[in-house]
Amino acid sequence: MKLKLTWLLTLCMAFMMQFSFAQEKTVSGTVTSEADGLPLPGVNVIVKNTSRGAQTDFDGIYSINASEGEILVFSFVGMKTVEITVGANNTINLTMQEDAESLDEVVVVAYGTEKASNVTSAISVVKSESIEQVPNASLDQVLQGQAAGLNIQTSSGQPGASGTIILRGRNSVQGNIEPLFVIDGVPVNEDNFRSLNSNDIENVSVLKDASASALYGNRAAGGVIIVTTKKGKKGSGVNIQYRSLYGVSDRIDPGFDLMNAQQYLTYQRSRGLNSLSDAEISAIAAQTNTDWEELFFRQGDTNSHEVNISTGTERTTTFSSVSYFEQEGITRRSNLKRFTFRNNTSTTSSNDKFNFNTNLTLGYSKNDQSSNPGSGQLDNPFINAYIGNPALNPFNPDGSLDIFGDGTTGFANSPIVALNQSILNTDNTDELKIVGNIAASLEIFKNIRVGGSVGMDYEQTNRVQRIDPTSLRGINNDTNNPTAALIFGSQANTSFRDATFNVNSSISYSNIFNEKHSLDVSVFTEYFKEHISSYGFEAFGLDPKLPFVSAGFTSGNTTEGPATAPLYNYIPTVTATLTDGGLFSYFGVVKYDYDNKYGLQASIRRDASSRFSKTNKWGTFWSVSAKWNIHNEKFMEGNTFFNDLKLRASYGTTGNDRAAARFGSFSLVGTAAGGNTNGSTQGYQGTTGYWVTQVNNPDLKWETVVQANIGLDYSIWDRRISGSLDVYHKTTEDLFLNQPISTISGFNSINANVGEMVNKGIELSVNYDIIRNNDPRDFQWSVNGNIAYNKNEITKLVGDGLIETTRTALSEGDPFGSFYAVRWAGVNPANGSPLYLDLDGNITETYTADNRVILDKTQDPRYVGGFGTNVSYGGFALNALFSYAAEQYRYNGSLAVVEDPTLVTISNQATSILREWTQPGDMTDIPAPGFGSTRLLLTDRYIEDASFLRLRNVTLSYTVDRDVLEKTNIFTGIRIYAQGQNLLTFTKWRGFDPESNINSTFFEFPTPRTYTVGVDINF
Amino acid sequence: MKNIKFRLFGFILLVISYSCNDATDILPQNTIPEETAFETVEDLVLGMNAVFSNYAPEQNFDFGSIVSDDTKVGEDNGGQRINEHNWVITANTFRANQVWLGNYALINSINRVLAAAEGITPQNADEQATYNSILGECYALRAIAHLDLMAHYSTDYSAGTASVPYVDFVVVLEQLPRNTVGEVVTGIKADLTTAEGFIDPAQSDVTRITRDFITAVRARLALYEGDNSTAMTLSSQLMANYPLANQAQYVAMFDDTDNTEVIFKADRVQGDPLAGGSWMFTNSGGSFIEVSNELVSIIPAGDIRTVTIWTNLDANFVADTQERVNKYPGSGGNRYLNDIKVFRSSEMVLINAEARARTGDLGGAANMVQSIRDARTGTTGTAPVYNSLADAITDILFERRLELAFEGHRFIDVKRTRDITGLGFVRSEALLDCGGTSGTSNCVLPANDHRFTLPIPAAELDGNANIEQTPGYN
Repeated sequence: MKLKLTWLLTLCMAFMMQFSFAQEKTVSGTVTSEADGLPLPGVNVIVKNTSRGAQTDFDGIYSINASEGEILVFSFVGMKTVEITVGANNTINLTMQEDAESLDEVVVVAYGTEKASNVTSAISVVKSESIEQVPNASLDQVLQGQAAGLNIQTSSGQPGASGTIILRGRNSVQGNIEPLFVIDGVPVNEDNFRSLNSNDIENVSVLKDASASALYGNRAAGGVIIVTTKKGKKGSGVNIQYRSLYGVSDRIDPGFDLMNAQQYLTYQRSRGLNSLSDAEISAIAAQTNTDWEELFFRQGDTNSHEVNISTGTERTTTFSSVSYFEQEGITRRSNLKRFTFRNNTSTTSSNDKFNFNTNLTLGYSKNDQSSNPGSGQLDNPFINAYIGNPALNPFNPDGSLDIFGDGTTGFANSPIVALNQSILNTDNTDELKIVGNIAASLEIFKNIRVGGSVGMDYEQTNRVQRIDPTSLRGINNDTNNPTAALIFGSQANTSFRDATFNVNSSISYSNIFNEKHSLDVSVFTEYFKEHISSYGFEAFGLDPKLPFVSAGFTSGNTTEGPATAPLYNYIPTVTATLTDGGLFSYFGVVKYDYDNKYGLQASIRRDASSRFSKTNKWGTFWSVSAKWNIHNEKFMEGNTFFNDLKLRASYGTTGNDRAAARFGSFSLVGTAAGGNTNGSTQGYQGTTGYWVTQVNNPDLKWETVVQANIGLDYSIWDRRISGSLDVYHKTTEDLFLNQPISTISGFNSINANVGEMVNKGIELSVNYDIIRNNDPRDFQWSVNGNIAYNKNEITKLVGDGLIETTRTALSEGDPFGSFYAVRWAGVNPANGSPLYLDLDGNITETYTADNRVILDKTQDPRYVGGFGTNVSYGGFALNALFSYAAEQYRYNGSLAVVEDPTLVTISNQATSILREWTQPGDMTDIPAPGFGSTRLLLTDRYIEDASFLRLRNVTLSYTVDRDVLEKTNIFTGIRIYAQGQNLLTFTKWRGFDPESNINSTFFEFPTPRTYTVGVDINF
Repeated sequence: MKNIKFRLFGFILLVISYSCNDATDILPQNTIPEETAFETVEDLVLGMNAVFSNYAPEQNFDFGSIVSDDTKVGEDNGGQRINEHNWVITANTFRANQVWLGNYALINSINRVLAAAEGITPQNADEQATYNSILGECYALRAIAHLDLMAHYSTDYSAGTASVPYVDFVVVLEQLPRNTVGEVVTGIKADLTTAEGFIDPAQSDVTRITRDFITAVRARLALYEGDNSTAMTLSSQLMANYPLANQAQYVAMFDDTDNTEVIFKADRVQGDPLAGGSWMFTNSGGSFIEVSNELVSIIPAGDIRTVTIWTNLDANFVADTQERVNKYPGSGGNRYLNDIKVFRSSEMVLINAEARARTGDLGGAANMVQSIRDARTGTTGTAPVYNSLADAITDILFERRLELAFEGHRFIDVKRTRDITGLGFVRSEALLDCGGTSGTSNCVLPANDHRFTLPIPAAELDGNANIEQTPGYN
């Protein structure tokens, strides 16, 4: 309304003025953009100090009445404003330059957005282009390698599996180490993304230092990752996009070889385990030489379809999408099917005082899981890919798969058990996930705005684990059934629900004084509540003809055994649990900026957590930070090298309430048998009892992370090179550890805030436009990279400064996850004995755990990062992203099994065993078999370098020319592409996958290699 | 319009301020805060159910038989229990530690129930009876837990010897030093006296605490501490009430169908641990530890104990070549699930015999021993003749080995008589219990070896600066 009035007034004035000044002439010309030379429509041209004005048309042409000596002011969004004095010439053509100032991007920060140049904190941003259409169903994994300081690794190649995210080093020993994930203002479960569509994401902000994250106080000790989903663009009309991709996944070649049937049988003979002749062995091997790897891995298909529609009018925008995603894992019985729905709206009132946003996503997924990956269970397909006997034939005479073998579930039949399990038995999880948020804000007085939002993260899963009575596990009653049960098979259903609610309200004041002093003050309260419930049953004795339904369960009243002492073998077990949690917080932030040169920010947050409701319920977290935009200083004027140069510094604290057990401040009594050392699960004479299950620590309090950060944001050389450099020092105070207490208490430790840990590091990110042409269709080449170095150190521990944790130890003065082992010194050429180093470094043949030392090898990498390149010409573009992690070590428990001479009867062996010591003088790394197994000794023999460099993603795409599409009158954009994930992996690790979030690996589900082709069509 | 918006925001603010405590004052729901757990006598009953299930006399034979000369490495041994069998015993030996941890967990749970009981007043006569019985059972079990601890963690049982902490309050952060044997014995006796006051004399269920249970603890304690006259008096009392079983009753007793000579047994029902699991894989009956050839060889011909000590039948009653422990053959259709016999009249007879021998009544001792032999063989034989105390003790020890095999006595019996016999454990090389292809080369544990006394668990040393490790383990 106001706008219309102004226009009328202007027109009216212009009309009147024409008659007032006789000397006026008509000045006209063309305005073009310097960057691409194209005409600029809509440029405002006014005569300074008058109300005469005009706008350029579609061809950039304007005309205006002005007299000589008057000044024309040309202004346009994103361009530097230009003033030109009218001279004798009636034509004034102009080339406008981009305005660096207004190029300033808007960055999503804690509880709001900020201009990039105003940001005082360490924040990395990942944009939608790097997230979209990546054939990985879990958002966290898509982020690997994309932001400096993020260490994201997973131990599972199961479609939809979530990884572990560690930002700037591990900051807790027992508690949560992952960043808080906030999607559109709603804190969500950071370990479950399988039901969310990554294509819906507009950008991801990684809040790294205390200043960035302190506003999330209580849950931000591991940093914060803010995900913002897409919105429509104002005034953009209706845009429809269809996207689709199809691909296949397969396994990555492992760094070791297994024996074939000939080798295995011959080796077994040399160990006295068979007495076959050469001819017999050859005969068997000629007939059966099973490559179990081939049988347990498969090629998995991926396909996805998505339609999204975005609309935008002057006041309202919407973004909606529906998608279907389906991905098969690289082993049988592993897949993910997902349907997602999203609707985001954004409305502004006509007077701009009221904003209203809604974000809602619904995801439904169905996840089939392979059995027991990462375990020594014989139905784990990945253990059998290693240990499967190559002389065992998995086929029936008619060529079909034999899934029963000798009918047992023992070692000799183990690969068959795994096949049987994957074909006949079930472990699947259905999930419904809803993330929704409604937010509104209103300017109640000039410069004062109140806001509120209500958000929800809702997860509901139903898991069904079924052992069919006709499967090998069923036939052998190798289930949870009572051993005496005569009807086989079992089915466990578990329903789990986690509903969290987040309600936030705020009032903020924002103003600019004297054009230079900008001030923002905001005060918030936040209420967070979590309701977790689960229930389930396990039924026994199944009818194979009535799968999955209770009609097929044997009644609990059924008895077996002697009538005098009847056995109730089919009583189903039931479970139901309820857990609530909550937080209440109030917090505030003050931001001050002077002339876009100096900025200050301070925040404080008070949090109360239900986890400490009986002890130190309230925690206070705060931060201060400052920035200096050096490039805006007088002395930088005329400097052409630096475009931007910003120095940042911050200091502050964040808290971790998830370091403590949920009810750690209570002494608890439960009905689960706690004290029985004889392993009974019930009260005396089959009764229910009350056991003390936890003793409380009356001093329990928050784990606090104190972090200092200094950073530099730069762009130089006409913004060809840009990036950031950050240095940080992070201390976890009041670190939770188990403090040993006298076992006379019935417990051997108590949760206590007794430790301290430090993370220090440097992060560097660089973007470099090597070749940049003004015409976007001309040749363009840029590279980018990031590297983060982090050094962790445990600075305070309890007791004698060493807490053993199997193969690693917590040791005062050393990093978390330092391996603690006896040093392996090879094999004695004289007798084939394993050699070790004692504490003093002397070689010995005697193994004793007392010779363990802390090694300079840790499970968490010292360096992580990624680098990539983007090349484009015409419609073609090639994007590549490498990710890497260096100086990380893991115990290779998988390879150790196939190099264990004592397991040769039940497990195939690696070909490396063929070079084992056999006679004096043999120089080899494999000891003589007579010295037995070294696998379970605490040595560093299998602590291997798991550093890797991976071609995480490479995409070649072709975008069809707009001019061509315009003629169709249907399409506005078509992009087709081919993509590869994990195509190349460089590593010294001997196994299927160097990537892992655990320190000791044992037959995990490896990450696959995926090839896809796809298309995006815009209408 | 504007007003409506204001009201909306006002409402949101109101909701938030109203509900802030509901987010932070949250109680656990799957467990009970201790303050509200014990409020009535019924709650105490639940506490007592837990206390009683914490009592695990299995620990005594589970550890004691495997380190003794009653066992050898089993045919199906894949490394199970091998270290203990070879006397590799350290502060980290799990099964040794279980004796400490299990008994102190029991004592702690007792002390918590006793503390809770102080705040509860029974509402009627029935409740009073239940309340009294709970207190009685708590004190009695606290006594036997301390007795088992004292037996394992004291180098001998003289009053001045360092023993274990006697604990009669709820320990959480306290770090207790060792008490002397004398102090522990005083505590045990006081607990037994208190228990006696609470236990109904009419209580005769052998799976609960009875007055006779208390007498039996006193008799065993008296023997350990060398109070021979008390040992004699009390064992005689019990012998009068519980005659020795005949052969059929004897076998039935280990099938849990006869209680003729049972003074107390810990009841075990479906869901409880299988006692046979100490030596066997209970699904197959394959033994990782078997009965030693020597023990099998010394069972006299015609002695019913040959049936109860060992069997060559596996879990499915198929015969093979293993000498597997048969004291816990199973009951009610559940293989290897049996009640744990803690006090039987034959032990009282042998306590009586030993007390007589130690007071010089060698003839009386011999008659006692003979009464058992007669009962087990179903004949009447001539009593042996003892020429010396050592002679008598050796024969009583022999009889205890047969009679109480795999019931948790052998390790303590050898330990407490080694000052007289001069012998520790000697496994038979001749019978292939050790050496050769037996799977172990450790044949002799000398009488003066420190391993007759268990080490304080490493976990206890970590959390208790005031406790001293048992000599020999440092």
